Amino acid sequence: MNRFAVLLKKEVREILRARATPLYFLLVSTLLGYSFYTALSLYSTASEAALVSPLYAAGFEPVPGVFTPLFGALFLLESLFLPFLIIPLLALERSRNTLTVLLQLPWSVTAILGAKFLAALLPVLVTTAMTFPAVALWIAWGGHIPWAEWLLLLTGHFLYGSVVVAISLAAASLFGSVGSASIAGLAAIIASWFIDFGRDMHVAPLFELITPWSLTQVVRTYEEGLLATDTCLYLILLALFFLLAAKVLLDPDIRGKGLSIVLVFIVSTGILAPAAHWKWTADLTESGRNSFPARYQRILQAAPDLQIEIFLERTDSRAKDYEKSFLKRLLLAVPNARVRWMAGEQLRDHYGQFVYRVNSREEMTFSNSEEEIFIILAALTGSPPPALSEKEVYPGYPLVTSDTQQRLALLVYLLGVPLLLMTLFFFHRFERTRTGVVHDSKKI
Amino acid sequence: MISASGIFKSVQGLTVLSDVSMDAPRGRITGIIGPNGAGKSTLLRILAGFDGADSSHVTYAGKTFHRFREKQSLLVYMPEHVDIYPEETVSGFIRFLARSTDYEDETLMTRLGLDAVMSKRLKQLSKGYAQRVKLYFALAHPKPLVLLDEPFDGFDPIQLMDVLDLLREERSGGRTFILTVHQLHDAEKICDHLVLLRQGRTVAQGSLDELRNRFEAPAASLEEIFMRALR
Repeated sequence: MNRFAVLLKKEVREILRARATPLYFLLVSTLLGYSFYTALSLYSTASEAALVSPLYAAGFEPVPGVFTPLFGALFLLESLFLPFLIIPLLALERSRNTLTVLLQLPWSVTAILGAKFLAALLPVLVTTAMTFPAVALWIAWGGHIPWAEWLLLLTGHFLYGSVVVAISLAAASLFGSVGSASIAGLAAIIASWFIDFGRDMHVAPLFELITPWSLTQVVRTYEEGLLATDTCLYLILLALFFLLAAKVLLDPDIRGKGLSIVLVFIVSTGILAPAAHWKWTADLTESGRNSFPARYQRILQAAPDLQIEIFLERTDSRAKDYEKSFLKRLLLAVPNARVRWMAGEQLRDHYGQFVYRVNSREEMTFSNSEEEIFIILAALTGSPPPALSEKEVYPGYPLVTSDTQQRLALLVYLLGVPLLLMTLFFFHRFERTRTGVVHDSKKI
Repeated sequence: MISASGIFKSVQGLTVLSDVSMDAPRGRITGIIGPNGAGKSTLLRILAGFDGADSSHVTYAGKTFHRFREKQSLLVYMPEHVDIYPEETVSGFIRFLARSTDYEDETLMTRLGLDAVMSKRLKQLSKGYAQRVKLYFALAHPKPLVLLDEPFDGFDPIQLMDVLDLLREERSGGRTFILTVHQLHDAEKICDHLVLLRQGRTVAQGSLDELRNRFEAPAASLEEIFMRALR
């Protein structure tokens, strides 16, 4: 066994030995069970009506309907509880002074942090795998899985879990005590929630600027089925930044720790800034819900210099609806489109208007209906008016499940998964005892 | 083996070490002694490379090392307060050391009496046995310089005699030791060279006889010399 594997094995054992680990898995299993049960029940009730009307059925997408709530539960537990599992892995080494021992063995700080990071990914992997029974049940009951969208959701949550692990290790490097490190780690993770809250409440313009980079917003892009290079790179860089910060804090050779962390931050931002500018986004949803139909895309291709002036307060429900259902998709299709939210006297005089400008031609409308807007854009670009094509209609996948099936889903998570995990834990301990890791007194 | 001079260290504006100088001759046991808060442990951590000094000049076997790893190739350090993986068994910890360093010393294990407690978890050990596990870590690696912070805490008189004998044997094998010791009679029994610290400054250093001469107390014990030095 090579030396890094020895260290990694030790760290994995530390994680598995912690009393909080089975408790965390039990908590995840319970919450996943309730989320799956609730989502199934709601999806099934709504599906009954959709089976009658095919048009209504088009709105039934399994990932946002069933699996995003499942991962939402995982997101909550990873945010609130995972740090308590990870932080002791390093904070105890510091408070017990065993880090002094480790550093004198043939491992660098980077190797020690690397092993701890990889071992700490184990709970993330296990809890991600705990969503698989839901997929198996869904398929068994005749449900449809859009695999690309599902894998994207999985990837997003795995990357988010990696960031939580990295933040936890950085917090443990900053504070020697488990308590202080846990508070700091948790504060750093849920800071994203405050950023989102500040943005929604329009507390300060700064929140508008940083909201796209709050962790909740970044994870949401994966839940929406969008694969974007900038969010991938952002999560990877964020994890690397916190790991490097942890290295700086622990490395006995690095003296100017504050300055070094600032330097790491500047370099990370320096890499991210151009990446965010030259971003590439793909809509991996089967329904294409983040994109416009081909008949609209053709019109947008003729309007690369599109300018929009919006005469609405951003808190106005029409503005929110417009931003969510239209503008977001438009900016994905035409990244260079210029959008101005008007303010002051102009806003008061023209309240409620949307002005679209293409090639110095402009048109005003009060409508935020997609159909209306594209008729205007077609006129501005000189394209033929959009025509509805039957082929473009997403069929939707409604699924009615019985009460028994829903209860079975709950039972699997409240009983089946915990029993499986307990059995694995039991065999792990039994195996260690049998092979003499615990009680062999002579063999070295 | 180690020659240090001009060591200054302050923490949050408080001076911990001020112009400390000391030598630790090769193949000898050097004891750093001083009252509580004199800076003994801080000095040892700086020599081991775990703490940085504000300024210092330290040579190890005549060489100046700037990197932590360079120092670690030469020395092993065991701090006073270390709670080695409490859930791990003694055999598990020793196996972990063996697999990670390729060194294991069954003779040393027996010499330290660890055979009897191999299956016990480290948290179940008495203070004396926990100290022996720490000593195993420090001595199993064939490094020429061994830095031990309060290594005799927790031993009963018989265990202490065994450990003192062990250190003498290791010294005969050519190893150099630097120990911090607060029990002066223990230091008197084992140390060939003594460094007296008071309020972060070196008051005196040398062999016991040299200190007796310096303080003009030819028959004095180390405790008496220490009291004179502190006055």
